[in-house]
Amino acid sequence: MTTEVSHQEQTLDVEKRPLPKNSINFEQLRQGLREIFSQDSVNVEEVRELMLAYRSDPKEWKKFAKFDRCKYTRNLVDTGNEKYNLIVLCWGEGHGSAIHDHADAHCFMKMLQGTLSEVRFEWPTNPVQGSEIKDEDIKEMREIGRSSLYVNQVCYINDSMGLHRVENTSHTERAVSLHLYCPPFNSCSVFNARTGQRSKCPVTFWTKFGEKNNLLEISPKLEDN
Amino acid sequence: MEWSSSGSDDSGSEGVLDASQMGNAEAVAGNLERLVLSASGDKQESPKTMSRFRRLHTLNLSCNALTEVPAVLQQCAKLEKLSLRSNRLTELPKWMACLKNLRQLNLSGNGLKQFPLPILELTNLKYLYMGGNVLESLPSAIDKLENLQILYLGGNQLVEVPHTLGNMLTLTALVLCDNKLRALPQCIAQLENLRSLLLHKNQLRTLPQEIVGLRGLRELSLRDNPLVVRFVRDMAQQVPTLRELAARVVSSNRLPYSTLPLTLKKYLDTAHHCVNPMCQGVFFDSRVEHVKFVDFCGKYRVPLLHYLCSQRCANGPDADLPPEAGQRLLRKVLLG
Repeated sequence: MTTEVSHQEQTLDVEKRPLPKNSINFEQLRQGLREIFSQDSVNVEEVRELMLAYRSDPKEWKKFAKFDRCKYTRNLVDTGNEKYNLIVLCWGEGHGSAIHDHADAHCFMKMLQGTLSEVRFEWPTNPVQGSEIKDEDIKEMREIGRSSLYVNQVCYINDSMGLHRVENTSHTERAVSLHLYCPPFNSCSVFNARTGQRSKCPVTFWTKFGEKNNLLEISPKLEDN
Repeated sequence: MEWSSSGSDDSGSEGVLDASQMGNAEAVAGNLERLVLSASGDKQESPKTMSRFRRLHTLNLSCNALTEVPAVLQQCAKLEKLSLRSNRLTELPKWMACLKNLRQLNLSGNGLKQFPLPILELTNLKYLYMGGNVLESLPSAIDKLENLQILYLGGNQLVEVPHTLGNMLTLTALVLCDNKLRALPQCIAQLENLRSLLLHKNQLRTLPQEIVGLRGLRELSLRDNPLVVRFVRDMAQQVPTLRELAARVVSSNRLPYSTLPLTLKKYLDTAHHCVNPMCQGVFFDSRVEHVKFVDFCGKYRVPLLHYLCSQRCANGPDADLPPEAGQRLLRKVLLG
């Protein structure tokens, strides 16, 4: 059964409205998401409103926030009966992601702690896959916008809107963000800003449901960001 | 006062103590192992004496607008984790060198311009966070920190790093992002345990070729550097001096030179061998900088800089680097 997610706006926007008066806790957020996604048709605005209604309280999500000193981590919280992946991402000082797409899925991101910077890119027009690239095929990717995401704010992106890189630019503060991907995916594409080269990248979890993922496949591939 | 764990200060959650209750806390103090006095912006008074906290091994003094390290810390000889993150420190006192049990020290977000030398005596340090200061250089004695695994120096004013950095073989993560680095020393390639190397937001145009030897590397960031992307014409070679030409003849023909004046002997000792395997040439000061692109990470061509003895070596079909077995293996791993 696939879930259809509709949305009115095609622009990537960062919700800057103040918190609604009736804010919910983490458990209510999880339950609310399960209910919304149990239906066949889901509205993007509804999901965003629900995520906005949650006021971040570290005590509630601390058990999922497992950091690594070298790289940002993905910690699976909930799969909503396989409809979505709800993930807590932990970013140490200076940690950032590659430029990536969202595998035809919808992506919601909410800040739980600290600040993240998001840089959005246009899809590369040079169709270069893999490692071999000729000089004449190299084309720098075009940046189309940047924004910062502060605690409790929510943003949304999907492939039709472009690609993005997310990073914690702070040298003193760590950051934690909550991501929802629907439908769930286990691999996506990463891109090189300087050349437009694209390659596939598996999505791995540092912890699942609060427990260290011992089946974590240590990828022999080096990530160039 | 709230619990604050927003920096790499601590991973635990116990031991939050209100400073106003310190006077009544004697029974507790003696057994306390972790203490957080993080004000998150407001100025706080440090406790007048830490001597009650004999067993303290974790202390978080972040965000207290401290202009100097509280002298009372001298009594905390058992300290293993100390955070002075986001204060207003411009230097560290000499007695900090006595905190020999420190494993983790967070000095990020202060006003440190010179690298505080007392830190070099803290040889048990594993994790050193100094991001977001105004450090202009690193001491060459940095390799005294022979147990260091994480060295965070992002967001400073570093123009270069000392060659001795290559001696820090225990390093797993080296963060140099957001500085003013123009080049990396070749010795970086000696850091065989490096898993993460963050170099984004610097002034790097090329990388030393030896970097392909870092087999344990899993995370490399190069964005926002003026990295050479397309093939560039080799830079014009400086016309060699007569001394250079004569030295090349002496060196290539293996002529004995021990009876020559000391200055000439020293000069001859500095002979470099051309990396072109088909060339037996040597060079001294005059060399060609050749940029070769190597497939790195399976997705990107990284410009590596190496030196050749002449333009002839750069242009010929033999200009490729010798395909050492190690390099081949690395490429196989990187390209999956």
